[in-house]
Amino acid sequence: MSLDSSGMPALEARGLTKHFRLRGRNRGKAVHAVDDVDLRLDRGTVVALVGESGSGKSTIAKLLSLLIPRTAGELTLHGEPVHGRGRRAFRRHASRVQLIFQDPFASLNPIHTVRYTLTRAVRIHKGHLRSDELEGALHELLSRVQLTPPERYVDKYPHELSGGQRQRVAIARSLAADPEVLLADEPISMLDVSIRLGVLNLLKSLRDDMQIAILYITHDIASARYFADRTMVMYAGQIVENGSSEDITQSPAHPYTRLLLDSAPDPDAPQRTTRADAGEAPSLVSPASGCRFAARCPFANDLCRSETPQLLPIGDGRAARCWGYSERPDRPIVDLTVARSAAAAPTEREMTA
Amino acid sequence: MTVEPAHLTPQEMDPPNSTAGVARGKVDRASQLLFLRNGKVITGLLILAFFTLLAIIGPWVAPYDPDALGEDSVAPPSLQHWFGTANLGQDIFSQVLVGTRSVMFVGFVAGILATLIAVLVGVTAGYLGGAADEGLSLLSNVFLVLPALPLIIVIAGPLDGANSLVVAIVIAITAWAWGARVLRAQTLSHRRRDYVEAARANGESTPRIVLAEILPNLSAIIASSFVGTVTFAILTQVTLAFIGVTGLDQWSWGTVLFNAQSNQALIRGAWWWFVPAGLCIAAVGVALALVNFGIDEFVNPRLRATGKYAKALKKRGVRARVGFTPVDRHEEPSTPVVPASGTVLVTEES
Amino acid sequence: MRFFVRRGIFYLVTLWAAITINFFLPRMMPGDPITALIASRQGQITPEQAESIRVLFGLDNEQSLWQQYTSYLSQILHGDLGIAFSQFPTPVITIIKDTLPWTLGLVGLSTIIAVVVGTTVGTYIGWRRGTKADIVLPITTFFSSVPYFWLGLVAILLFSVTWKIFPSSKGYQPGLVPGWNWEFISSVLYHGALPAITIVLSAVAGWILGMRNMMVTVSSEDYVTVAQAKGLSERRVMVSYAARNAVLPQISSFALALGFVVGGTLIMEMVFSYPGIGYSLFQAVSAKDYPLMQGCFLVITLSILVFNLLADIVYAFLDPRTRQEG
Repeated sequence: MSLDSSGMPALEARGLTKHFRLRGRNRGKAVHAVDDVDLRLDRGTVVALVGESGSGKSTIAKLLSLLIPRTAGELTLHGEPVHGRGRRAFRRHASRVQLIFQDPFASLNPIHTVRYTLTRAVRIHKGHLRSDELEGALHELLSRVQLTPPERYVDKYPHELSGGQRQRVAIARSLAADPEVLLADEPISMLDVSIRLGVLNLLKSLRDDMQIAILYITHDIASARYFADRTMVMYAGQIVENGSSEDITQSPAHPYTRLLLDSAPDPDAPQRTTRADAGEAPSLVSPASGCRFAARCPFANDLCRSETPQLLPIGDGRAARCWGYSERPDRPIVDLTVARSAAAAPTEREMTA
Repeated sequence: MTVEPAHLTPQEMDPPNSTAGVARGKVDRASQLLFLRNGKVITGLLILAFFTLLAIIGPWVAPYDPDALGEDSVAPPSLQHWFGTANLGQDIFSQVLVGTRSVMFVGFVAGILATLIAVLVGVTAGYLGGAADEGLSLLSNVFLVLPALPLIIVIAGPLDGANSLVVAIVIAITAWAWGARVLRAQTLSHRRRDYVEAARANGESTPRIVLAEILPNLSAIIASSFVGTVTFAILTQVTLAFIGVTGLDQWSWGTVLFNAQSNQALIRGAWWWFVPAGLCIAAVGVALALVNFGIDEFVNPRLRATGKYAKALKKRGVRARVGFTPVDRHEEPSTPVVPASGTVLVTEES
Repeated sequence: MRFFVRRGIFYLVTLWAAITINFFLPRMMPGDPITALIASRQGQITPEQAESIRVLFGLDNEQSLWQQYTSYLSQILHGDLGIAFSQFPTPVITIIKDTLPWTLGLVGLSTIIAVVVGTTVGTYIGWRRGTKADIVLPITTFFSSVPYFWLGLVAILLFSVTWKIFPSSKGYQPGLVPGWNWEFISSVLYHGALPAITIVLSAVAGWILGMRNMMVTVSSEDYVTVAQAKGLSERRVMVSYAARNAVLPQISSFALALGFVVGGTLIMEMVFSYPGIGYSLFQAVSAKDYPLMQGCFLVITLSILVFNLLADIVYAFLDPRTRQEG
């Protein structure tokens, strides 16, 4: 489970909630982007947050970095509550919690050189340095993200670098703050496939060498398995499952996790349809009660459609938000043990009350 | 090193977080030099420099005092009077020469003032959003819709012979709204982009974000807006002088035309009285427009690339279309002519 | 519907701004020529007229500023814009009523022609960017770089004095009695031709440039590529696909361009002595007739707002998104 030696999480969120209020015709309603999320990041570990587009994962990154204010919930940094009101408090938080964006080009100002971007970061977090000290700091940052020789990269513009190099510069920028927590919002989604591994390995080395806590947000559950110690699966603004990456990918508990795993193309399995393919993500505007995955879930019954399940522990550091794991007599029967084989096609799982 | 004329979207329609391979605006030295190498821009700047020089040295270089009376009344151009004379023998050439100063002065001062206001209002509105944005937008829209010329007339008319500075200020007050609107739109677009969020997440302060991150990205638009405002200011100053709003003691190209009009120059067929002044106005106007075109082409590489290679394509018998990369079906694939973005489309038999 | 409500409120605010500017201006100017004017007309001016002047120009210093403002507003809204000093004792509103239709006619005609010609030409040269068609641009830019009035002067010189094709001034043949007969109308059209042509020449460059830039942008969009790949004729793609989409922003800029056309028309009237509201404004400036100046400004502003509203209606009609966005 937790590999942290001191026992205190670097960053912890409890009940994190974000509702975007609507204007105009839909005034009074709100988009429930994130609902009641508990998250824990420990130093030297990677937690993966997996979900599809619109599930709220990027919003969580922005909430944790204080870029947008939260609607409800608590945030603690090394046990101390975080307010983030006012510039000083924000800067203090930023010096310990850094964010890496998905699009490596968009996150670097195209009119500034690498030197300028990194210098600003250093100036903000390390104060004013003498020019030779500054140069040394820039070189050190670039070396740490494996952009060597640093002289070759320091005066380049973003458009002169490849996608992978840009992302490394973005990582270098965030390292200037010497952060304890790195929130990586889909850091490799926009990179060429051959480059992805390199960047992931870089993040891994940051975790091991600098004991940084990393939140790895992605829609690709396979890379979570490779890279993360713990995985949390998110759907429609809620955490639907969490546990160690191994457990989740080998024996998923929540039907959505199962769906994610099954969605990876498998040349061995024939064409296969499940009822879940037919649905789509629910609208997050003032969602009704009931499990938000019910429309796509092959096991959903009336209970699922009427009452919202809580995140229920299912032993050994795992939890799932599914009525199937509760003690209630009217719970659905959830059986995810069907292997991905020819025998399963085309399956329909009938519910029994 | 070569500049990639990669697929850039035009100013007003930049999508947020455009994908990899996008170059934008004044990115590096080579691109800046490309801007200056543009023939249109050079021509425009040269003309402007010429008139600025005239504005400065005009009164000293003029052969006659513009008000000095002479003998030949309404005489056509001659060696002594290059532009002919007015009704009381005044030398029109000197009048036009001396008149250059107030025109250029008002033009540039009004341009600078108006652009400053536009940047202040537009960028603030775009960045802050919310109530500040609504209020400032309302202000700009009101000034945008109010008809400029009548407003200026109503303000400056009662003043007895307004001097150049007052005229410049009045023009600036009516002319800033357009630029403010464009800048607000652009700032809004940039505000949402990742690099601004990244700067915020890094702990960058708001003034620094606006001034050092967003503003440089807007430089081309600001330049273009400035040029447009100067054009408007010059035309307006001349018009005001023509109507008689600015004092008659201040020489301007418009004053020359005013005199021409009041003395029935048209009926008399005294074309030399008003043609030179008009041509000067046109020359400055065209020069400014050329500079504006240059900025436009520079910022939007789609225009740049297609125009640049149009001649080369023409030689091969291919009609250039914006955004399309022509491929010659009849030859072995060698080097493509245009590295612009877009899909393969048109070929024509040579 | 909400769209129109918002726009309507905006126009009201603008109108209020214009009225308020008119209110404050004379009170901020140095000197007080109004009193002198009233004094010079001492015998002829009636007490009501004198009172209305005072309300307009704030000569009644006993009232507080707010009271002056409210009496000003109510007077304006009743249509009393004061007396024109240069044409004593004609009320300003009468002068405006006589001259406004001429301006509206000229502006309307010129704008329509400029829009149609400009959009068509712009479509064509935008489509054929980088070819000979581009030569049109510098030519039209030249025309729009020149002040309207100079173009008008040259036009008069060429087409009126040198080659006597068109009349050089006035709205119709002096001596004709205005009426709805062909003789009068043809005279109006004849006299209006040269001013209209000059306005169009000056204004069309903006339209061409705008349309051409939009065509350039739209031409590189995917749906145009698809249309061409489908094998549709080039003209068909140019008109039905590209131009159709490029024209929308033109319409929204139409309203703003209108301000320039109106401004240009004003000057044109001065050059051609065309009996419109611009000519009245011109005369008012020469005579330092403040009531008339301010009255003209207000009415011109009002007309522009009305035109803007019409343009909004047209735009909403064409683009369903604005209707839905409420």
